Amino acid sequence: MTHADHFHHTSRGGALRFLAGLLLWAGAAGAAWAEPDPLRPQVLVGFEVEADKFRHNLPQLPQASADMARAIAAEFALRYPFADWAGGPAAGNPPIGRLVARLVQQPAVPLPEISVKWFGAAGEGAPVALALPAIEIYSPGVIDRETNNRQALVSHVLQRVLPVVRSDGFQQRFMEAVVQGLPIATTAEMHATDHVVVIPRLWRDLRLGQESKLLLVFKKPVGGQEQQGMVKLVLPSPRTRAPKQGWLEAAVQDASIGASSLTLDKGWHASFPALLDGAKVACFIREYRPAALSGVLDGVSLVSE
Amino acid sequence: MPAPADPPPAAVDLQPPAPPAPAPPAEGGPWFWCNLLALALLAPFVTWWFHKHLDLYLTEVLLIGGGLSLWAVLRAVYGMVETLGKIDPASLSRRALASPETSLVLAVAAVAFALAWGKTNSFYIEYDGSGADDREFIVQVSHPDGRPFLPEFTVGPAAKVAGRAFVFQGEPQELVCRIVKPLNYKPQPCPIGGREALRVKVPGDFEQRAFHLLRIVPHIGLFQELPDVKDQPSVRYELRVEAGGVAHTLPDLRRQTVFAGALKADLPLLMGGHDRAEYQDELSAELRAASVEEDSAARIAAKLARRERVWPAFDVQAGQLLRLSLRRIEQQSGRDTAREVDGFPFDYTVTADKVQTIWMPRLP
Repeated sequence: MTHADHFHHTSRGGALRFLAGLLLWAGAAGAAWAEPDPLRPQVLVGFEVEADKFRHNLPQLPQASADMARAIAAEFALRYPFADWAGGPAAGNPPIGRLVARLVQQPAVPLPEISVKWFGAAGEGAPVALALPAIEIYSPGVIDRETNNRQALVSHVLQRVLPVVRSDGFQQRFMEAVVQGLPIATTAEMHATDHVVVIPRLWRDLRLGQESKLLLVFKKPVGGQEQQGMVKLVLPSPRTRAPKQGWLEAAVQDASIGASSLTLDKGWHASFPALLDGAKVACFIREYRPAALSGVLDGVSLVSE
Repeated sequence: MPAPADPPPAAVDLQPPAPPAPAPPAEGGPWFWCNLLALALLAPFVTWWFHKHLDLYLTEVLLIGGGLSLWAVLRAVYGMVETLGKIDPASLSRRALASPETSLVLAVAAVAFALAWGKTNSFYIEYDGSGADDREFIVQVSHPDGRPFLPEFTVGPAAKVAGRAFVFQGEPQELVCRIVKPLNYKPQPCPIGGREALRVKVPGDFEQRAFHLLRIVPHIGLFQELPDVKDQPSVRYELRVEAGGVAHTLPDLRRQTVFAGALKADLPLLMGGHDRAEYQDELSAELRAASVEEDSAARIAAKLARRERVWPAFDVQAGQLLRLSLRRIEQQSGRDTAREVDGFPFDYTVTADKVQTIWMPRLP
């Protein structure tokens, strides 16, 4: 091979590589432009002071509420890292739910009982009372209440609330009353090629362990009537192939429309690809197990995680 | 044989002849009578001044004992002078009295005494036993602003007089005398100054009166609403008490006991008669009776008993009607907004009790 041949060969190979790179870049950019990665789900946690002696007298009430909300949110963030439990205002993306701890008073003798009650909503709906135990802050017979001291009240409330929140009993009920009711996604895709359901969330944001179970609920109009169905999903894992690489995917365990169960063949049904067309969809966590060694499966080293 | 030597010449006295010794003052001369007259004139004034300002201070025992001792000492000196000096002291004193130097000494003494006369005052507390059942009285003498002027005096059947003279301290002083124990008498003004001798009879010079210590304390509902002493609240509470047609205001009421019922100097004395432990028990019992939890009641009672807010704004008499009101003041848009707290105003009639607790309304 002459020098000129070599040059010619080299320059031709370089041009091909450049072209291939350009195409790849364009493809990736196009894909990114077409569908950006979904954001981390967010749950807004608030603390409201309704009890009148505190509401009327407490200095810097908004700050007290924010302090307590942040502390409670941090507690849930430790236990349920599949979402961003934010003790402050929403950070851009619409929240998947709201949790409100409210300091309320109940008539009692000699003084009203002061307790924290829980309210919540899926999405951005109005919070409703949750089936969670109220936490007593001041019993009726305790009269030295921190009605005029922000720091002391925050400290007292958190000393009462956090140990209860950490208890197994509370967590079990919290799972049922809150976590199972949070829609982690409101769309889903049935992928017939690999027989999985892809949820528009990044797996690394949710870190669901494979023992976790999900439930896809959908409603769609069929023949003038609204048909409701559900798909039970198991083995959640990060999607390793394009498209939607890195997103959350899961296998179908069971599916039903109305009262009819769909018979699955190797975890799939021929009607699945069109099942969700035009349907309102919500995906919930039914059983939550955090991933133990997250980061390995989605192709990113533990160190960089 | 040698001739006898001439006798040495007699020493010549070169000193001038000594002047003749002055003649001793003639006893019975004009200086004698002059000095005697001066002494006679001075002595009654000195005696009267002594009686006025120092008699009580020296006391009878000291006077008799001291007089006898002085007489013995003088008599001993007299005897020694007579024996050792071969001098007739009587004659010597007569000669001294006839001396013009004695007149000079007397003149100086008279001037000094005249100065002391105008610049000496005295202050004595005398126990007179009137209406008293043989008990001791502790009397406090203070400036009108409460600063003590003298240490407290204790008088009674055992020590009937206390006080002292103030020589060369003739500045007038506005003072207040107060029987601090027993606390059943009105304070009396007792100014001293000039060359006055003040005698205060205890308890005869004092008008009897009854003092009442009021302990104003928030009940449970108000307690939980009020700021604690350590708080930096955004809302403040102002207590007003109308007594005898005059309104008195206590700003920034907290979770504490307000002590009132007497004026500045009397209130701390009245509080001395208040038993804190007993008060704490009373508070605790009342709180428990109001269904407050045992622990909380004990804690609050201790807090209220310990946190004393002294408010010497007014004094009260048994049967007097007081009207208590409480305003809640909050700053809104840079302006104070006030409203009367629920349950206020309320009336309270002062009882005959020496120490009485006024519970403010319980509130819902």
